[in-house]
Amino acid sequence: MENVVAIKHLNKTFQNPDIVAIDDLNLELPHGEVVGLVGPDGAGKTTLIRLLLGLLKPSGGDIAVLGLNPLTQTHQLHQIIGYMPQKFGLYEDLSIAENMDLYADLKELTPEERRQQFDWLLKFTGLAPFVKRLAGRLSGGMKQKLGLGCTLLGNPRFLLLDEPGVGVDPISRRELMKMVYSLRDKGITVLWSTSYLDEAEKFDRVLLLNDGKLIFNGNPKELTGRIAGRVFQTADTANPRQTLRRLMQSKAPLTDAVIYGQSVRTVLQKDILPAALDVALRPITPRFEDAVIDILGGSPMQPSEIAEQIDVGNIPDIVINADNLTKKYGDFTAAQNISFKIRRGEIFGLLGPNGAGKSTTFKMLCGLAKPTAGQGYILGTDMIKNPEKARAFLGYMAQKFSLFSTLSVMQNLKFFSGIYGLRGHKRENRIRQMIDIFELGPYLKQPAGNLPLGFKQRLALACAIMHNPPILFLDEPTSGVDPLTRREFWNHINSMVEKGVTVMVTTHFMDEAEYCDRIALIYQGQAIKIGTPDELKKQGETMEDAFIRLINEYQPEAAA
Amino acid sequence: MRILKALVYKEFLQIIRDPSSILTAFILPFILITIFATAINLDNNAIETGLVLEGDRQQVNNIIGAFDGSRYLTVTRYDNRKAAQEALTRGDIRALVIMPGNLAKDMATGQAAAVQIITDASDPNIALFAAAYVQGIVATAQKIMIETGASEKKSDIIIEQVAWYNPELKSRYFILPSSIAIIMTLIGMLLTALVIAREWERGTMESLLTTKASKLQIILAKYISYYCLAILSAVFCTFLCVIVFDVPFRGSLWVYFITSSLFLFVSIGMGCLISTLTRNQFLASVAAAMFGFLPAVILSGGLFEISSMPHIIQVLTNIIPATHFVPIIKNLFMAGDIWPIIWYESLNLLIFGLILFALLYKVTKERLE
Repeated sequence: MENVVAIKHLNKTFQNPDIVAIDDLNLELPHGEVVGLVGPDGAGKTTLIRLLLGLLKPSGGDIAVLGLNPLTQTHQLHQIIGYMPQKFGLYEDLSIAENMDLYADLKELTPEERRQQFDWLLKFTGLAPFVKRLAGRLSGGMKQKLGLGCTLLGNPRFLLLDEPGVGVDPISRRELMKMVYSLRDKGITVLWSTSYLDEAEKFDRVLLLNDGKLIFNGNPKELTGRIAGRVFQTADTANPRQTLRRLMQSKAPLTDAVIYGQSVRTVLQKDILPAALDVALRPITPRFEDAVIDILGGSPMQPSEIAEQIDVGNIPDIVINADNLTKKYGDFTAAQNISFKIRRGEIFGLLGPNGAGKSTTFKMLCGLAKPTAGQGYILGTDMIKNPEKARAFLGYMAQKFSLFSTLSVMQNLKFFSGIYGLRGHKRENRIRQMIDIFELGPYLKQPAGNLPLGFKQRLALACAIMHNPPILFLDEPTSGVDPLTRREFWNHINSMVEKGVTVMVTTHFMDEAEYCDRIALIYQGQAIKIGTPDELKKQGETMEDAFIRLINEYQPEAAA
Repeated sequence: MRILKALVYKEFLQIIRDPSSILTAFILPFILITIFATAINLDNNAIETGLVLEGDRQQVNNIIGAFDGSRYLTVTRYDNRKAAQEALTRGDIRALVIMPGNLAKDMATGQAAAVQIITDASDPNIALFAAAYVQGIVATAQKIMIETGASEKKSDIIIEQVAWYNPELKSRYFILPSSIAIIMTLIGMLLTALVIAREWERGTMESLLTTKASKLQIILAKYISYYCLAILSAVFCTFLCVIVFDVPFRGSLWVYFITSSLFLFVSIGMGCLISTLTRNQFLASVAAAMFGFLPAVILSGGLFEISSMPHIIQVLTNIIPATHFVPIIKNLFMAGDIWPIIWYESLNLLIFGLILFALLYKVTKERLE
């Protein structure tokens, strides 16, 4: 039998010929596997899927999908494949049943086929009790199942799912994965694209894309096998950041080192422990992300110099105090009685799926949303009564690095220093410092929108800390960013925290929570658990395991 | 056929469940028509007019009598130009008529008689009306003087005012039918401009493109469903005009229906084209307002007379579809079935509609690029 996908020397460029979306890609996929298409935003995942569907035209090379040419045999191809685009491709004003009817009609199912497939799909997705509900009123997880259900109409042989896990809580994501594997057992091949590296280990096969290049194709265990014996963990300490700094400064041949709860994970360049190391290491099982860092050439191993100039001064021990913060929009409670205290020099994470209430809590604490009840204090200043005064203590980095993309790097720096009230010599010195620390020199005249992602992130951070704030608020700072850029970012953050800067960060990456000193798990508007990462996890659990267990313990019916 | 039916049904469900489409199709027209009918008043009852007589009153007595007798002008007399011009500047009067000393003599001898009319053109409509009335009054007076053979002889001047199609000179009689044309542009374009862009934004277009639905079916489904909505809206507007605001309708309903359908064919085509080209609801709505709604209001001849525009603009108005529908609908309401206009403009609309449909078919891609 022929391969599901056969690609030879595939190239794809868009209007700007300098940006290569797909770069000389060769690929053969056999039947009956669940294939993960993994890579950061902009790696070319969606472009590849669209090329396979015939929705985009290749700039060069050959593609065959199920033996068909997607460009010339588009209609035949569409009859035997199923495609779920990002955001699931559902009509929000239509009910579950109406969405399914529409897609059944569009795929010209006979009444007999329709009856059979509806029965099976409604049972399979567990959506039978909700058929009259409008798709727009469904939770992320239910939308995802409905999207999958509509995609499965017509019994496709090959399923392409574009980022099905985005905006969905981890429980639903796991259920979907289970469903997909039961489909594989019926002989369907599945291509599942994701930017979550921790999801990759679950696939039969992983295609790792970076900058349009296929840098790995095979079983994820094969990739982690390459670094077997090279991954180590330090003992738990009260200050893992110090351990990390010592590791970095030891000049030992390291590929990667990241904070992991109270300890540090590290990947060595060779599988021999360097003799000179004064930090005790014990070997642990490699993760997929470790292997990706290794294949990408390793992460930066110099401690950041960003904090050299930072002086937070004399500030109280309790920096942020959230006291029963509650926010209601009509009869919808976005956040309910959320309380926590953040101490000086702590990284505090708000962890939860999209829509859980992280951003609402966040916005209440930086004065962008007025709480329905409860209080928030920043360095003792009431955030509700004195938002301007309290905000002066904050450096804020919004989601997606809200820079002015048409202004140059220099203009952005000047603008942000201006709105933070820096004037004259002080302003010029500060801008010069930022340029030096973040090595922005060569890019000063470029529009911020054209910067490489890593530099965008540096610039956004530079703009947020221009006024030397003792507190940093980071909203999804590394969403969609490749793991190397993410490490570089955390390297800067860690060095600032060592100098006493306090950080509050939101994230929906479960593994990123490991970098935090303490985490609040936010689920359905409530902080269901607050503690250190190690307190939250039981022995051998990943953060996602722990999250799912804690949700189930908190509200057993949520798992049903 | 089954696919088309399913797509049309889907569009209907979306229309019914989306409050904004009901708002645009019924509430917005209601507000617009009420505004056009009541707030925009181009009526010219009793325009304040000043009169300065520089010669002997005796000689032009009959003309002055005509002014005093007019229902449409309220005449105030001023002793000299200066006082009158000041009154005009203050806004006490909207028009000023100056009769020079030799007026009566010129009229009697058949020479060109100069009457100066100064109007306050800040409201061009009132200015135009005032000027027209004054000219009418003077011309009538002169005609009667010639017919009676002498200016010496005193004769009563009877002014007969005739206005075709709008004998009562109520502006809403001609504004409201035009406003239906404007509203149909709005509904046909604005709603459809949003819907294709919405499918792109929500990612549903990508799903549709991987089903058996062809681009012709996707396009036709939009045309059919939004045509139905727009024609309902047109019926509603017509009902408002005829029943609530008492505008007479003198043409045939079936001609009205067919020409309206033609016009909607054009409007929906423009909306879909904008939507397909922009793929973005915000851009599409701005483009629909710029290229559809505003030209329909300003340049279609619905509110502002095309013949009083500069020549180059007059030529430009021809490329605006509403320009070709406004004469049809105005005549249907005020005059009846004027066949030469109906045939000619319907043909124009048909050509517009077919060109737009062909363009739309061409720019709609079955791929994403």
